[in-house]
Amino acid sequence: MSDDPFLKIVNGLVAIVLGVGGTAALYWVLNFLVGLLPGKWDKRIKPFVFIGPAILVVTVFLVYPALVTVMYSFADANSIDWVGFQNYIDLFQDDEFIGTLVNNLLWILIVPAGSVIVGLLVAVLADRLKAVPERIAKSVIFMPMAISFVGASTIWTFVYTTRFAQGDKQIGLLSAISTSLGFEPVAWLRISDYNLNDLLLIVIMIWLQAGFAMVLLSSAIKGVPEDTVEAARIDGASEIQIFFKVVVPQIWPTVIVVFVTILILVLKVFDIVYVMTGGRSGTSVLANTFFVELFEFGDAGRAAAVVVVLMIAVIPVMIYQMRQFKKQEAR
Amino acid sequence: MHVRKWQIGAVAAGLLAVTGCGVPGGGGSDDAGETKEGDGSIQILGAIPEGEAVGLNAALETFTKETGIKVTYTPSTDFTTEIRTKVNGNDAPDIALFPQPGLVNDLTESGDTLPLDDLMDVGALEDTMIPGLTDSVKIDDKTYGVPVRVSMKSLVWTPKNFEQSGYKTPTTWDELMTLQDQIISKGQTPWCLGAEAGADTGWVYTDWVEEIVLRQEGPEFYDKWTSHEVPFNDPAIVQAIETMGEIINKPKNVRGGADGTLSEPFGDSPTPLFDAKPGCQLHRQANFITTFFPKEVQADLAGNVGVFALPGSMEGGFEGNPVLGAGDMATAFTNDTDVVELMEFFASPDFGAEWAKSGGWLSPSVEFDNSNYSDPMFGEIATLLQDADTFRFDGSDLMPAQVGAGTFWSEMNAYVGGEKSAQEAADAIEESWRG
Repeated sequence: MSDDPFLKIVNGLVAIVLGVGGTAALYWVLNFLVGLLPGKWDKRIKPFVFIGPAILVVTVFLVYPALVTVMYSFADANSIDWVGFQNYIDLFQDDEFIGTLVNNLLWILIVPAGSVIVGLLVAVLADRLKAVPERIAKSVIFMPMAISFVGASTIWTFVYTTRFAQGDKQIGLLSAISTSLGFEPVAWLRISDYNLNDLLLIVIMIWLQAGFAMVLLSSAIKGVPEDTVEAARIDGASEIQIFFKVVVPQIWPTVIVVFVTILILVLKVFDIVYVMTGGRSGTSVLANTFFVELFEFGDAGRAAAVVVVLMIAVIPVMIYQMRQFKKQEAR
Repeated sequence: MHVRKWQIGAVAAGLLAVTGCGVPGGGGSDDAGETKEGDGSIQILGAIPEGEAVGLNAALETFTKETGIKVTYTPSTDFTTEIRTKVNGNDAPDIALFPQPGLVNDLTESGDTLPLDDLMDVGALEDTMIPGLTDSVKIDDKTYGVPVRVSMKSLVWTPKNFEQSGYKTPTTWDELMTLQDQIISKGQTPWCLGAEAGADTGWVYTDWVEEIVLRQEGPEFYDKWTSHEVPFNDPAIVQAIETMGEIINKPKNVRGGADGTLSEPFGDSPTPLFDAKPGCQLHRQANFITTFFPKEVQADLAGNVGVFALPGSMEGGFEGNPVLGAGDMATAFTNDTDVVELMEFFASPDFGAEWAKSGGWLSPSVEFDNSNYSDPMFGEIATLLQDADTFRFDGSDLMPAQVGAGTFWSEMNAYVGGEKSAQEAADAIEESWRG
């Protein structure tokens, strides 16, 4: 029960040592015990001994909560009585929830594609620079990766914020630019026409993820054998043709991996929306709706239903990724 | 707060499976159970921010000196979420200071809070508090909270040269409306209004709507409205929302216009009152706002800022001056001797002398010695509070959280932002009122 920072650090260190050491010791003991078995059984049981704890942890901390969540989604706000599909019916009759689904779709369509395009562009262009400028350019693009979502949202608040009273200085970058060009100040994040406010939030995510895409794609591009490019040049192909017909097919697996990784991240998007708008003006996404339903409205049933919808949405992506992964492994 | 590793894991795993039932709280909702021997330390979680809690911490220090019990107050910027998470994760603080009785009622229904009747003399508590204050945390004749702070919301702040500018303090709603026009005709701006508060944006507007409902329809209707005997989209409520809209959307009436009110942080919004040439003449906000005034203003409030009660006597409405207020309620989750001692400390009429000295605080006790207020401004406010014809608790605090801390806020934002009409906003709030 101490607030002493020194004790906290000691506490943390002890936890790490015990955690890691304990786990290692557990495996060592189990391995030793299995080793005592007669020859044939040793080989049969050993794989299960090593994978068993992992399966146990995944079951207890992932599978079980997921199943319980599905169960609760058919129960009422306090998870006491069964209500059948009522939570789902309520959700899909709610225009705002449909709007939320559309927003999620927008994020899914734009962010992975946008990040891959920006990342690829930077990777290709940086590839043509000399070593030092290339490193600098890449570092600058990669830097946002190190910023947390909440931190990034705070930074972008200073891009989108607006002051309306006459004589007040604009502290938001976008408003400072637009008002200096003679436009009236507008509240950027409240413009829901053409989903502009959603797009402004989506830009933040692309800014964060483009660096990650760039790093992976850049190494893939550097892995393209030079002689294939040379051969294409001798055959008289233009640079654009070379890029799309020679380089892209060879880095395609990497593009897919990057795309899917960012896609899964986007499905979970919450922090940016929560910090920037709190889901106001039609900018809400599924995770935000879940958060509000559970923690602000205390409706466990509907919150669980939102999560189940999100889970169902992720499944096809997961299956696709598994298949891609298997294909890659098979090579 | 010492959190063990496994607890983090358990909470993370349980997050999706969190539910309001099956979590044993304080031993059922209508029985406090056995009072255990305290361990000499108490954890308090509350929504009172660090800046306003200086006096509270001073009062708690006095308590520690008297009893030897160590008390730690932790302010939370996202109290509603945090207290739910902690209670559901079986990690409740010993005592929580709830800014919303509605939330106390929610957690009491799920059996997590302790009835105070078994811990202390609730009858004496009711006799010493402002009448009607503890009713908001009464369920089935048991009381679940001790008021530790009240605030008066129906206050209008003015620059110090307000009267020299030729303006007169309005005593009726009509006079207030006339005053607006008078200020505009002088080329000045009547109101400063800021509602931006992160995830909580919207509460400033709901305060306005509540003030107007209370004046337009009177306290009986107000009670029916907050308890949902009257639907939220009743024509009277829609009319009240539109009355607020008339004030906000009137050209030149509010600094920065409707858009400005949505993006101006509520704590910064009164600052133009104190400019050499005041940027506005009026600012309606509860008494806590003084802690957001510039330092040099706070040094001598009575000399730097004027204040009057938001007038009532609306034409065809309630006759007299109603006052809207709020308060923080101390609710117990742990039943031990330390907690009982601290609760009795909170309930005593002398509680808060240190807080009264540091300012920004009004005692919920009618027996509190007003000479404790170091600031004459608060003597003034205490008088305004005593002159009120009727006192009502903040309505959004009485509504279920999904409305009071949810749709009522968000729909008012949508209305002020011009995304919805008053009728559409009221309909959406009515629809969201579950149960």
